[in-house]
Amino acid sequence: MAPSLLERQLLRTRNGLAHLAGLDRPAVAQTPRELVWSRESARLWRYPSDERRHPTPILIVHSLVSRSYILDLLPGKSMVRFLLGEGFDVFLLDWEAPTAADAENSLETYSGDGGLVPGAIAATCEEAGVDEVTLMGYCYGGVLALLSTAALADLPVRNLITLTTPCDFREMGFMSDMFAEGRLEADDVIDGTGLVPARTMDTGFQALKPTDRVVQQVNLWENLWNDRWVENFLAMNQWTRDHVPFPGVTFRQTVDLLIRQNALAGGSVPFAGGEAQLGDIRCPYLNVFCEKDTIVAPASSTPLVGLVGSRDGDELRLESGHVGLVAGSHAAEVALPAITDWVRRHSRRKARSAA
Amino acid sequence: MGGLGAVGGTWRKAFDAVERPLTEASEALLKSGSVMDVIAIVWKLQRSAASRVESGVGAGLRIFGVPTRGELIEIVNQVAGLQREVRALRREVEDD
Repeated sequence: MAPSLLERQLLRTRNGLAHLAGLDRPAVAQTPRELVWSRESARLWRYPSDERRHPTPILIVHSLVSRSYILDLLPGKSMVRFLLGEGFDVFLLDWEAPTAADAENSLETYSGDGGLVPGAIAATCEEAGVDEVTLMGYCYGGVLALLSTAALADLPVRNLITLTTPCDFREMGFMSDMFAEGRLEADDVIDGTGLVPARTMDTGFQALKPTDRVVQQVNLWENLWNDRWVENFLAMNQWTRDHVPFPGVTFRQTVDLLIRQNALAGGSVPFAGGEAQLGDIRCPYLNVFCEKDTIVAPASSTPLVGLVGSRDGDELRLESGHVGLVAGSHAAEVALPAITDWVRRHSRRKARSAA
Repeated sequence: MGGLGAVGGTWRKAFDAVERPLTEASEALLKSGSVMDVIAIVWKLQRSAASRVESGVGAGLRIFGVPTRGELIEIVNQVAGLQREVRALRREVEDD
């Protein structure tokens, strides 16, 4: 039963005071996990589960531009928990917030031969006692997953999934257009330690929706009486503003190769002295993108399935937004069941090879 | 009570009536090439001004023997360089 107006005012006062006092920060990333491998800024986590039913583990590669707790935001809004509940063995490749020591990390540091993504894939196979993984990249993590799989033919990747991953950077809007020739150079936003500061990343994301901060506060006031709503809001809001610095060398490559040359959309990215060709990706591939995504517009992601060389390529167009895909109400009802259904069909022992 | 509830609904409708066109207009503005050109110029000017202020403050601090921000960044970068060398050595050892 909905509370009366007076009760709402009391609840609003209580929650408002707790919010002002900073007492109401929700506990995020509560699913138990174990650190199974680390190298430099990379951390490989495994989520213990008694319900593993599928032989091929899922290795999620998180983005370089945000914190990974969005994948395990709250118990009822957790992609990790959903996958565990579906019987998958879940690993997460996460990144420590970069320091000056990571400023010279390049795309090759992450995705090249001997790099952090291939290292995590090997560690996942060893830890799970398997020969191959389902590699799932979220946002920029999808770019890293694509480059690794394209550049390293013998990588033990059974299936590749990209979630809200940009490809055509001409369709990325403000963040990308600001680095068009004649506007900002990558070095204009890189600081003295060689990193793009977290607050610069935040400014860029805020610019995508200039009035969002005000609207969110108004939404909070309107729903302040609703404990559940407030908890979700605060968790999401905390994540939205919780950016991490970006390694400068990778940022220069992003501007030069991905934005100005739009190399991913051309299917071939200059990489490790050669070319990483998306056409060389032969494993089953699923590209997931969202109609309401204001960060990676659907038009930016759609070319991927046509560029990847797999004969078993598929795409999933969802109605949610960039974050809603993994943490919104749409996630548990539509997005994640559709993704896990695809993974399940591609993880059966006899369903190997697609190329 | 019903009256108060109606007031609650009304203020939100009023807010939305102002906010929605404002949001659409601001988003459209940020998609304009000339606005992005201006933002880029302002960004560069701001950065160059901050750099001048920093070197001015640094010159003042140097008189009193206090390390400047630039000198601290230099030390951070030297430590970072050492960290990278240690990482490279560790990788070599692991590969062997």
